[in-house]
Amino acid sequence: MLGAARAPARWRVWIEPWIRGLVAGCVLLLGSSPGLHAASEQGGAPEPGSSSAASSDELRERLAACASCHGAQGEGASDSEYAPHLAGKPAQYLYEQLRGFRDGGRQHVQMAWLVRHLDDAYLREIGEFYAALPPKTAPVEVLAARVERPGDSIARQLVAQGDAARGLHACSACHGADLVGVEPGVPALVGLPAEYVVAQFGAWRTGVRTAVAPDCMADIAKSLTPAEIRAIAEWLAVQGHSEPRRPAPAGSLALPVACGSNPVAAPVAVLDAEARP
Amino acid sequence: MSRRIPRWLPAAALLAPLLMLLLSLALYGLVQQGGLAPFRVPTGEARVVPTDPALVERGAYLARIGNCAGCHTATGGEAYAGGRAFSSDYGTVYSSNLTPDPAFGIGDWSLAEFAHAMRHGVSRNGIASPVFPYANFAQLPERDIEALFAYLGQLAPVARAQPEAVMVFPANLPGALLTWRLLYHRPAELQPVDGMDADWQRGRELVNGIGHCAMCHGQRGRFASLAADAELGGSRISGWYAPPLHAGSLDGRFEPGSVATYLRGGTAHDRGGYGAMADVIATSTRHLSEQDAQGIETYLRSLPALTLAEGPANRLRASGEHLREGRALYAQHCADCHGDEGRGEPGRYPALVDSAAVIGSDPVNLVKLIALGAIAPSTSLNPRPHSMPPSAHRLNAREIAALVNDIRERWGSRPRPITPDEVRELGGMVRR
Repeated sequence: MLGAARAPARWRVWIEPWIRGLVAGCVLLLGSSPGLHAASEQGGAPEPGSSSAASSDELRERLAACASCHGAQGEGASDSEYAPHLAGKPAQYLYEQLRGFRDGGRQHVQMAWLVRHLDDAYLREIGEFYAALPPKTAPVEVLAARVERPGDSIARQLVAQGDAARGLHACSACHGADLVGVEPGVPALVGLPAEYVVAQFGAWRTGVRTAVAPDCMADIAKSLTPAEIRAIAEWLAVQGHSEPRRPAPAGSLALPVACGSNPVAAPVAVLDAEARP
Repeated sequence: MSRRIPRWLPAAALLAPLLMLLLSLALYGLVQQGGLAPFRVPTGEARVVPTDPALVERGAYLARIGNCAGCHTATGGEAYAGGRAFSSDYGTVYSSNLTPDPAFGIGDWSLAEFAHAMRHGVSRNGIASPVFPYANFAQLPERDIEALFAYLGQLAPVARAQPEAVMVFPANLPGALLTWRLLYHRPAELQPVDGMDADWQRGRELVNGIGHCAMCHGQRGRFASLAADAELGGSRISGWYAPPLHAGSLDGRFEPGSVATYLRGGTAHDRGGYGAMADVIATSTRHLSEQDAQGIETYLRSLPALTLAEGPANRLRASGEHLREGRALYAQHCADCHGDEGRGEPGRYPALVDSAAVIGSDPVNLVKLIALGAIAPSTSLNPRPHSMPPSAHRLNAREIAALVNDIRERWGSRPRPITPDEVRELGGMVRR
């Protein structure tokens, strides 16, 4: 049974582009027929036009190296305890990370090795490719089966409220109430592997990971304790949404702090005022 | 009263001829490496940097195809400001600062001093390590050296000191660099060869001059010396194996015209540039003009095939079980792209048959490519290169050894199989 299920999946790689090409050709040829138009609209596939779907297949084939850790759909490899998912994250964010690996702002031997001679145009295209893929989801039954763990209350507190005494904003203040990120530069947090999140906080604390100034995450990472970081990371890893959620549109969330290339809202004085003795 | 023989006389009688012999050998070496002229550094001449835009542009082109920045830039540092480390069995040397900073760079050098350093490898800072390819740059025409000087002269100065070299015995002895010169530096001017076309002549000048291909592809002898006639017999360098470059090594493997395309595009037909050569393509050869790249191909293909000294015949064979494991892993991880017969797919996936990584005497490239994966550089001919997945996270050292041994057994020269320990040593970050 398993073998039988696997074989078609391998064939699909070869056949799918042809089928897509045929469909695209038919649509182009019969494009004047209003009935067909209606049918294709009903058929779903709202975002990618047929030509961009063909080119995204063509690009997917070029990105075999990425798929080996991040999954063919950028969904994150199921057996990986570290590599984050990429699908549906903001294109600008992904592009900046790729540049970081190439130019030294982020450190990862494998990533740096692979992207070191790729130019900006290609990295931007790779970012756009993963941004357009369906965001990662978590099955309802998985979400329902979660159990409360000791660090969860600390994590929930910091994620939703922050800590005014330390001038720490809530994670949700920048990453969105549902923590799926905001265009153009704030990534989704739900469903990231805990070890990955812990490693990023460590890298920010030690200056190994740097971003476009002002580097807000570095400041936040330095204010959190290792126990809090661990609690947040483990809590985030089991969060998710059963339906795909895209990052909020640019400008829809007023960020409370200046951060990287993201537009900042009018200065928010409340937290700062409370933080002062 | 008997006359006594002084006690030092027998020793002196023995030592004197030895000293004479050493002295005459040193004198011979001194003459052979160019006499005293290399050590007369022309300091004190006025610095005049030419500003003719055409000359500066020519200098920029030469600096690119000579890959000056490749060596004279530290990881993450400013271009041409030096400080990149070069480690070998003899220690670690750091590249110098080529920017026109008067204190740390060459900002108060005259053209004469610059030309002298390029030709002889000696400057006010002493004798350069042979990591600097002055034997190649001695072949450059006057005008090209002036062009490089003009180009470097208009860079922004960077105040970055060149870290001091850290050498190990015997390279740390006083006079080690001088002794090396006396023993191995044999400057030879590239004599024009009659009867060859302009394309070939251009390629010969590029390969032996500004391109300094032999620094990586040349076979190295004692104390890292290179053969005087710049044979390109292949060598392990910077953790990668640079394959031989001559008719015997290129003709069967590269379609006509595809060596030039490979240099400019990073990939060509069923070949791709990875590892240390990807660095060279990305920072240097992708800037080659079509004409210059073709010249290099013409010249390299004209070089007679080298027959390298063979070691003792290999009688070791991997076990059938080990090779069967490799074959199964190949089918699972490699065959989709490289094909069951290792022929790849031109324009997309490189062929393994006849690839340098597979047939080369050194397995390091194959091990590293499997462990780390690879992407050829983005170039204007191939801006969106295909990528090969890494395997260090999914295959352990034994599995990679099986894969390498199966591939080399089928399409290589049936060399001695490699062990999992060697895989870990060569490939870095590979699991036991």
